[in-house]
Amino acid sequence: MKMSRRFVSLFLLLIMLFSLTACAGKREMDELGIVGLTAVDWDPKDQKYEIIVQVMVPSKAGGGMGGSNIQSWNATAHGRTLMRASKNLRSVVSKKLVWFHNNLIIIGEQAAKRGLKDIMDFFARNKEIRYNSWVLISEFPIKETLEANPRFEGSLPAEIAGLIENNQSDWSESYAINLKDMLIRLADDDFDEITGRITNYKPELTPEGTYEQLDLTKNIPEDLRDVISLSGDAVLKDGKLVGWLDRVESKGYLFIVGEVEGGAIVEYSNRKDKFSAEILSNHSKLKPEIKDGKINFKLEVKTDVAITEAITDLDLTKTEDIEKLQKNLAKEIEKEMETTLWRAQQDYNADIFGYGNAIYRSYPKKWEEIKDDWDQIFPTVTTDIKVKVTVKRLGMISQPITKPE
Amino acid sequence: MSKKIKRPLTIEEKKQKGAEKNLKALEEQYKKGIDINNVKLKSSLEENLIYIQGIFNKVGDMNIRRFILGDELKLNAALVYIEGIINKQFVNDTILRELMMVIRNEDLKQPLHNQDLIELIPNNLLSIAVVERLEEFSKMIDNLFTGHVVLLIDGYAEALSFPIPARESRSVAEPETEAVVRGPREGFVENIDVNISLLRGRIKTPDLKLESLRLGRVSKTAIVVAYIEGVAPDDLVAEVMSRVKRIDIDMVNESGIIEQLIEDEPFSPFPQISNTERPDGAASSLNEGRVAIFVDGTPFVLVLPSVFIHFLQSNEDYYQRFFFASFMRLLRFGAFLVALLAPSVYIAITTFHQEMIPTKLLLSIVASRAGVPFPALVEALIMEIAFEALREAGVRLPKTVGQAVSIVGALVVGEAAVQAGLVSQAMVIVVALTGIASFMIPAYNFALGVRLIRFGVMFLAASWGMFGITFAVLALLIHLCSLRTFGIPYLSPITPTDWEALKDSFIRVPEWFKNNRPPYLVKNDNQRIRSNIKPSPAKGDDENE
Repeated sequence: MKMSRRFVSLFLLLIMLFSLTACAGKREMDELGIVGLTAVDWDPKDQKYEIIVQVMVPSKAGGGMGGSNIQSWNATAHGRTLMRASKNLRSVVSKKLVWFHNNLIIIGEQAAKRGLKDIMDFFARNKEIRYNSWVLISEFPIKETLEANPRFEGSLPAEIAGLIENNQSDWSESYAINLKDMLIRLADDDFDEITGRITNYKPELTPEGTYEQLDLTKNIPEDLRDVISLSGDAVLKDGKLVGWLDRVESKGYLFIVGEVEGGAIVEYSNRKDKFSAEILSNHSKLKPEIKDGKINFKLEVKTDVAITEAITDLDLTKTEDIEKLQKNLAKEIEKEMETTLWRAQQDYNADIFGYGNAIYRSYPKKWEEIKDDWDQIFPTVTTDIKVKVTVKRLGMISQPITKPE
Repeated sequence: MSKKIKRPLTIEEKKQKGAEKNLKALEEQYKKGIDINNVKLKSSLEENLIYIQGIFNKVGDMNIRRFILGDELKLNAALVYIEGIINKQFVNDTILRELMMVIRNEDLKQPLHNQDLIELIPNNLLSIAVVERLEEFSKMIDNLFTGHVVLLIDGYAEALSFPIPARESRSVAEPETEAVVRGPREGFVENIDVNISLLRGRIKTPDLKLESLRLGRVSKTAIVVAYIEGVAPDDLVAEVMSRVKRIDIDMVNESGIIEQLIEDEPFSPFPQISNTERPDGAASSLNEGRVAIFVDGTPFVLVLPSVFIHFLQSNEDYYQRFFFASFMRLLRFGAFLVALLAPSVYIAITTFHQEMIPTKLLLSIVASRAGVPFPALVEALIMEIAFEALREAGVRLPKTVGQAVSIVGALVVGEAAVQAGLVSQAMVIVVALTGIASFMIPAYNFALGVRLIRFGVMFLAASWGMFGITFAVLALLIHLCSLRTFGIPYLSPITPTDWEALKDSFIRVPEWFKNNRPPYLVKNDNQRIRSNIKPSPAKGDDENE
């Protein structure tokens, strides 16, 4: 008796649980519109935000689990606030929009100039946005940028993510940061923001090449065949876009902050010699010194490189010659960093290196004093640069095959 | 009609007539109903036979063979037996021949009728190993049904009973449910005597106790409870015996019936008593301090108590080298989880937690689900039920047709369902994986439980996603923790933790490292292997070379 009563009550409880909760939060997969990319721009004419999402709709082609057959649709909506704009998207999208696979946030130039802080507030608040989404600034209006078509991946977000990854591991000429880092930089006074620049251009069609062949499968008019590209950085001051860094400056920036990963190269050429070297590992040390109220930074960069090209008279088996080479390469790196420093200090007055932060760490009291005048002080800060390049490897051959003519 | 003039009867004839009338009356009486309890044999052969015929009224396979004992002595006797369950050849060649022809007055010092034949026949005449003397009919009936031949002699109120059973039996063959690559190829059969002999062949010690009893009012099935005294705890044996003896049932056809009547928790989906068709499995279980119950008429021997990990072990684990055995065991544990949870996790993730799937995988799953009109749960149920149906059909159908059904079912219907867009390919893969995983569980009865629970978890997953699965797993865990089988916690040796026994659980350590019999089962005689007998090359070999 006791047993059966227990079972009946348990059974009733289960039925209630099933019927009363009604599968709360259930989303069947075919109802989903998976947003892969969100782009935000500012329309100065209407004084409205423009939001474009790229919704990925995989199609069942050939009856298989064809993941590569992804169609993506761009949906555009406007609104005085971002939330209004994103809600307005629903008037043109029949699927239930979900953002959790969104890994890219692209901010148009106009919106970036107007300021990133209120845009980032929207993204930071939304529970479906992942904090590891990349935040990039587009050089052109986002409408144009999103006209580019992916060439290697199934979708544009995957293509851009691939570019970022490639840049980080093999190129180091752009510095993309994710939403979390962006939020930290926006919240801190002692940092200004920097992130990757996304741009698109119509490539000159190569006479024969994979580009033509790949695009034949898609019926895209020729004038729309844009190539998306990640190159250089956008520099922001207090969340507002102030200018761009080109690729070389971008690499200089990465050297200063010590974010150069293996794979980046240093070149050096003069009339006599021509060298290129791949960086194996790089360490940077930034230390502020205050002497007589003057702030001076000591920047030590230690880089191990492997020679990848050497067209020279130098005898690479000799220590003196290698040392000469190392010095030349170091000078080259120094030059790059100096350019970047000059750009950031004189042109943009944006403390993208975190000089303020370094002072705060070493001299917290001093920082409290100069915090408010930092904008005036930052361009006057000097930097002593010391670069030490060590050639670790010469490659498969040691002596050059050809001599310079 | 002329009246027949009757010749007056002589006294002899009158006596005979009276006896016949008596017998007739008895026969009539017996036809109305017979009480067989505590009825003693009479000294008159005819009376006894009529009584037997009364009891075995319309029992076609009961035979009575009347004969005259010896050739000179006119002593009536009869053999009673049940046709088909005795060795007729032996009866013809030995018993009847001996009693009818070989007995001669001259062979014996005294005339036959002066002797107590009931004493004489087993002592001096018949060379049969086992002889029983009977005084009661009830005992005689029991004996007759177990393959005895009963000898009744006129003038004796006792009968002799010789067990000469001959039963059709399958020959010892490889067990189908527990096939191994390496290991003995013999398996139990339906005949309990053969089964006991197979066990005895592996355990040669007087400590192996075989307590036999009969269960079932109609079937009178022979049951043997086997254990090794001193290894199996006494209280366990006592508990098993008391539970078995408590059973009062009309028929015991298979050991499964005994299992259901003595298990601890009948409402648990997990079996608490395992069964084996393998003598080596039964023997090693007994050696672990467990108890085996043999039931006549089935090759499945019950082994108890059985805990969770026992159902994920195969005999072969002990015969293969320990690396591979451990790998297989871990794989099987993984298979248990997959068989239990795979469809539920798939449902939960695809309907609630799409953010957990990597983007590319999500896109390909969405692509495969495009156009499927059902929610994931319905899709899963369709496939799972279809799969279970196929399995059942495969078991029931004749072997030749069974294969065709599985091909049609799996390939044709599955492919067509995907093509028609009724189910997605991802779901087909998940269901197929689940099926394979459930086949990997060695114990069929355990796999049945897992298959059943799976459906419940699927409903929970479809209602509350991962939360539902967590709920189900927790509920199962609580249930498993509270489950006990014959006093042993079901999750031992995992919890309560028994490190020594854990050496032989998810992994199997090398033989030389498994020092003790599992301590949670064996309390006293624990030594399994002498320590420090790890094999190694003989010392000093290198120096000698």
